[in-house]
Amino acid sequence: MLTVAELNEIRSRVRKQLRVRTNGSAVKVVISSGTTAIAAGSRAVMAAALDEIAAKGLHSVQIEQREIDVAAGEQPAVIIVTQGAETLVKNCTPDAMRELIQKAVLANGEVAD
Amino acid sequence: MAYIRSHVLVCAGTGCTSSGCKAVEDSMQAEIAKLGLENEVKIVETGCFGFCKIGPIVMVYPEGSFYCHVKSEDAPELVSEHLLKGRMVERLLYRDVQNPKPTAFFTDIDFYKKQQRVALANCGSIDAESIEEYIGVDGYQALAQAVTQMTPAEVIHAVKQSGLRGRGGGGFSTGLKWEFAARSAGPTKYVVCNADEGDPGAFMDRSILEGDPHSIIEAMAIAGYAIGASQGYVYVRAEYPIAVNRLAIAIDHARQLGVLGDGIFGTKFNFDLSIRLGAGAFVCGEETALLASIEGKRGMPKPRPPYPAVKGLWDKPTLINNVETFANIPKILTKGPEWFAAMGTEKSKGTKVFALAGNINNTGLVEVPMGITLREIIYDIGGGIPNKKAFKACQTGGPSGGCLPASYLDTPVDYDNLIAVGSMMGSGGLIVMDESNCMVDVARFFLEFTQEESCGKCVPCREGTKRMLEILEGITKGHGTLEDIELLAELSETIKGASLCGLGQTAPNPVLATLRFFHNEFMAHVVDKKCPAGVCQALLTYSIIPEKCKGCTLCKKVCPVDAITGNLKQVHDIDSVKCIKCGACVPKCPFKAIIR
Repeated sequence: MLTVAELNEIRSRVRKQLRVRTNGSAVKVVISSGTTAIAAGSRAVMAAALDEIAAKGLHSVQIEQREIDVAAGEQPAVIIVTQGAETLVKNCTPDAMRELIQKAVLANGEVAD
Repeated sequence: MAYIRSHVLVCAGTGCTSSGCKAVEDSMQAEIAKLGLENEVKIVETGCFGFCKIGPIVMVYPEGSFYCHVKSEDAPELVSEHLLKGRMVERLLYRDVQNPKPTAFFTDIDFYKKQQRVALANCGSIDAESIEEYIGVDGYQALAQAVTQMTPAEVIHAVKQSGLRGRGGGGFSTGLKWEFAARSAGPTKYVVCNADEGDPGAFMDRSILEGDPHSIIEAMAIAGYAIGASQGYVYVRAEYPIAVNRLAIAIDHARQLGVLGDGIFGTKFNFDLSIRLGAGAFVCGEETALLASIEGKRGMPKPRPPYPAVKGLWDKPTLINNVETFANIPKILTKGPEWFAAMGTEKSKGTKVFALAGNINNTGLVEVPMGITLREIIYDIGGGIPNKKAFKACQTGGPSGGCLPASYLDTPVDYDNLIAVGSMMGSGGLIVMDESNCMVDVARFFLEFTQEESCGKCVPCREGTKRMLEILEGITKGHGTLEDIELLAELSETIKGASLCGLGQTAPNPVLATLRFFHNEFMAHVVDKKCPAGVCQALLTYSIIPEKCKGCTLCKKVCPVDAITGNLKQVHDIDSVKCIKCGACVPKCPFKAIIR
């Protein structure tokens, strides 16, 4: 027998997972993923971002990929989007990625269900 | 638990399944594994997006990129370019018939702009086989609210207030129907979902069952609570194997989780569901015939009253509603009846799902607010008629409805307006016809269907439709007379008035509508012995225009019965006695010298 509380718990948990489809994230992290970026290490940056989000349960963060227009020597590049404002970070490392996510989430908080 | 950054939704409705979406899904899965992305990307089988013309459809989130006509051989490029490198694959994006520029997001596609998806809201956005994803989009909140916070009377009041009317075609007030069933005395009652969907070309209910089966389960449980029933049946045609399978999975998951069974949400309310398969008889869409079929009897209608709400399945009070009707119920409770009543027209609230078919650019499933015009549906959403042909008519209401000509394109679609102009809403099939359709043949086609499907119980339908079909077939073969047209009209009224059930009562509708709006075509067939649209073979004559013929012999070579004579560089001639009117010669002539 399912209780209403259990139903709501499932809803809350799954809603966070479905934010990828609803564009309902407070923090958006855009990671450059073109061929040059991948060669410069953007996949490691991506792995760090995904790991940080999973480890801390930060479902208010959404990851996107696109080509970011910076010089080859400045890849991997990352753009943090919060409340409409964009911050470009060049030569991002995995450790820097984790810090950026922590700061952005701290500044914007988890989106309440 | 790993964070999945990208969800790839693959349409797994019947349409896209038949055009190869499973192969697409398997290929993408293989490529994702090959590139080591399986912990970042997940593929989800979802329900019908509605734009069946351009399937298989794949939607990639978080971007919301809308890919169409995707094949399994596209998988390596899609995965490598979009999922690994973040670059959209432009060649697979949607392109409008009139505008070749690619459109990346479905919200920018004209097909979707005027739609409002309520019954279809979850189709295309959740995993069709996941009860958790259904819960994640507020699923079972309405049931919880109903059984823990509302009385049955309050639930019925909310449904009445919403103004929801039966979406199967009858258009009867859903709340009133629930009230009748609730008032009926007796400890045993039933809730039945009519998922027979017999109208040719209609697939609204199929798509809801395939893409959002839990909405029906939840709604039926709510209905059971409201009327005092603890058992429900979904009667679905066996020709819908994907829908049947998804529904069975959903019922199983619902039982496991406890939203079906005993003590739902800790209350004393018990409710369970079973599936019953229909064998595809159109008459079993009629409620009394459907109930007879569930009972194991031959699907034949009964006179009403008594109505099923008083004496239905196994003579017990039974509430029977259509799939689309039920699909609206959960949201009416969670968002409020006022929200639902704010959509639509004064007497037809909410939205309606239509299956667009026939000679139209954008075939598929659309959901629009009541009150939208036929012109908007056909042109703004449907993309108009292919090959710049002229619109001739649209059939609403399937074999029970009527064909409306161009002069009615600005009719706002709702139950009462469509009846007023000589058609009906029906279950939502909307077939578009152009200048190449013969309206006499269209009438014959629909009558052939209803005559075939007649159960035979009552004489007006059994014999009357047969006689009407004979007359129509005679007209299309060149044997019609003016008296036949009069007789068709007379028979139609008799059959409508005297038939036992809705099949017979509405079978003459396409004939009456075509007689009314396309009388000139009937006259051409009967008086001139000609088919203006060039469809009725018996009335066609193929001939060669001597001035245009260059004697190339291409038509002569392709004629299967050697009906064309003439030597090289000499004008050819068609022997009308030998000619079997197959039409093979017409496309072969490079000089357009052959006419019919």
